[in-house]
Amino acid sequence: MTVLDMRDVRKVYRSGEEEIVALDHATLQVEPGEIVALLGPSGSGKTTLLSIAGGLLTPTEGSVVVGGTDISGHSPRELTEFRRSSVGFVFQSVNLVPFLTAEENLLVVDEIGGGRGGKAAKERARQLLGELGLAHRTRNLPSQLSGGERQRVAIGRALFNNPALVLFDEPTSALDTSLGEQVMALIRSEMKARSTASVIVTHDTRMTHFADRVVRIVDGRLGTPEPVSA
Amino acid sequence: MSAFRLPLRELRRRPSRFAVATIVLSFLTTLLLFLGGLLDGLFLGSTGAIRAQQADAIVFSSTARDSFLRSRIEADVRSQVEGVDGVEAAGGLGFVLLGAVVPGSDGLADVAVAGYELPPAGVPAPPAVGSGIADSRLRDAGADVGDTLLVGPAQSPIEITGFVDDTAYLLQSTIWVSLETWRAVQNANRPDAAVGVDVVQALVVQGDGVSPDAIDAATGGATSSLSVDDAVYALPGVRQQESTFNQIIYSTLVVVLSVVGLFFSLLTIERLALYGVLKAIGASDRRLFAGIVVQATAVTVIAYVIGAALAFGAIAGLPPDVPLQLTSGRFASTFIGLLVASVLGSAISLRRVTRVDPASAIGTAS
Repeated sequence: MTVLDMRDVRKVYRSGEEEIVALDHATLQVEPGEIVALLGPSGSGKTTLLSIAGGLLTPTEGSVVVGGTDISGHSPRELTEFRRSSVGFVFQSVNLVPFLTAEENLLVVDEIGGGRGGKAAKERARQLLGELGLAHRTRNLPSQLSGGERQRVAIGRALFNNPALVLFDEPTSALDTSLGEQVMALIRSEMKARSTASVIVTHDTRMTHFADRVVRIVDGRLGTPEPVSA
Repeated sequence: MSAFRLPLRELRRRPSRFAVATIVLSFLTTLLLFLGGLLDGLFLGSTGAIRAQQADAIVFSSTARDSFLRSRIEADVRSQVEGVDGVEAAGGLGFVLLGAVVPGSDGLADVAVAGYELPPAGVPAPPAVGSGIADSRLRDAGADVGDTLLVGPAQSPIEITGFVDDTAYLLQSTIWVSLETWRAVQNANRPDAAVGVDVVQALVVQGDGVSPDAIDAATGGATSSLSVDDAVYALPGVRQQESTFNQIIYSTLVVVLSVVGLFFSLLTIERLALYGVLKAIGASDRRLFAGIVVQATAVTVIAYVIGAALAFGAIAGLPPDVPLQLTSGRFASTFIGLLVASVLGSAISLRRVTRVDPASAIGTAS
C-alpha cells in the first residue's frame, strides 16, 4: 500500500488582496521503504509540502492520504493525534528537549501520548538508541552529545512510534560533509531496515544519492522524478 | 501522572531557572503569613471573652450602641428578658479595663476584669469574692496561681485561682470574677461609671430558639440584642481591623498572581520553539498548558514551605507583645490562596501556548 499519496494538493496563502500559491497542484506518492529526496531552492514550497504531508498544515485543495487515512479534512485535534501516532519528524535544528537525556528524549513521544514511560517503552528507547550506535549515550543530555549524535537521537525519536512515514527537514544542514554523509547513510539503512517511507527535504545535491528518487520543486510545482545517480 | 513528568524533570534539572520566582513567592508567602498572623492575633486577642460566651443572645441597653462599657441593664429589664418565651437562663456580664500590679513584676499589666454569672466555655463557675480566674496570657506578665494582683488606681486586690485559654478582651488579659467582685472593682476604680447592686452591663441569654429580635420586642425596645458573632464584630475596631488586613492580603495575592503570570509568560516565550517541536510530534495544547500549571503549582508549594519556615523564624524573633498568632486555618487558607493565585497567574500563558503553530518547527534553523 502506498504510504503517502498526495494528489493535486494546493496551498494558498492570502496577504491582503494578494494570493500566494505555495504549492500548486502537487502530486506525490511514496511507497513503503522508499526514500524520496525533495530538492529545491528557498521558497520553492518544499517545506510547505513536508508540513502538509506531516499534518502540520492543511491543504487548500487536494487530498493527502497517509497510511490509508485521508487527513485532508482532519480537525486540529485529529491532526495532533495523527502526528503523534502515524508520522515521525526530524527537524533541521534537531530540537531535542535540552533537559532530557537521550533516552528520555525518545520516551517523550510516549509520554505526550499519555504513556507512562514504562518498561516496554524504555526497552524500545534503548533498543533504538543501540541500533543508532548510541547505547553508551542513553543517559547523556543533548549538550553532552556531538552534532551527529544529537541528530541520531532525533532520528530515534522519529522512529519511536514505529511510524509508516518519516519526514526529514534538512537533516544534514548543520553538519559538515563527512558527518552529513554518515547521517544520511544511517537514515537510509534505518529506513530500509524498517521498510519505512521517508521524504527528505534538502537543498544539498551531495546528499541526494542516498535517496531512491529525487523530486525537484520550483515555485510550488513538482518536477518529474529523476533517477538517482550514484 | 505522565503529564507531570516532563515539567517536573525540568524543575529538578534546571532549578536555577525557577529560582527567582521561588524566592519572590517565598517572601510573599512570609508576608501573607505575617499579615494573616497579625489579623488572627488581633482578632483572637480582642474577641476571646465574647467568643467564649455560650449564649443565644447578648443583650445590651438600647442606647449603648452595642458597647459593653456604655451599656447598663437594670433589674426590671432583666426580668423582662427572663420572661421571654424560650429563655432558660440569663446571666449578667460586665467589663472594666484597668492596669494591674503583678507581684514580682515591674510596671502594670493591662487587664479586663469581667464579672459573670453564666460560665463561658472553659471557664468554671464564678469564683469566691475577691478571687478570679485569669486568661493564660497573664502568665506572660508574670502572674501565677496564688498571686494577688492589685487592680486599678484603687489597688483592688484579686487573687488568681486558675487560668483559662483564649478569653482575652480587647487585647487585654481577662480576669473572670463574680459580679460582686466586678462591681466592687468598677465602683472603686471608675467612680464616674459606678453601677448599682442589681445593674450589669449586658445579659448573656441562653434558651431554646430564642432570637435577639424577640428579646428586643419583649423589652419594648429597651434593649439591643445581638448573636455572639454579631457581638464579636460590634467590639470596637474588630471589623475595621479585619477589613483592612483582608484588603492587604487580597492585594498581596494579586501581586502573587502577577508575579506567577509574568514569570511563566516569559518562560513560555523562551520555550516557543520547544513548544512548536512538541506540538509537531503530537503534544496537545492541554498537555503543554498542564505542564505550566504543574510547574506553577510545584514552585508555589516549594515557595510556601520556604516562606512558612521564614515566617516561623521571623515570629520567633518578635517581642511577645506583638499580637501575632498563626493558626492551622491561616496556614491552610494562605496555601489555598497562593495556589489559586498561582494557577490563575499561570493561565495567562494559555493563550500564548495555544497560538504556537506546530508548523513553526519545520523550516527553522534556530
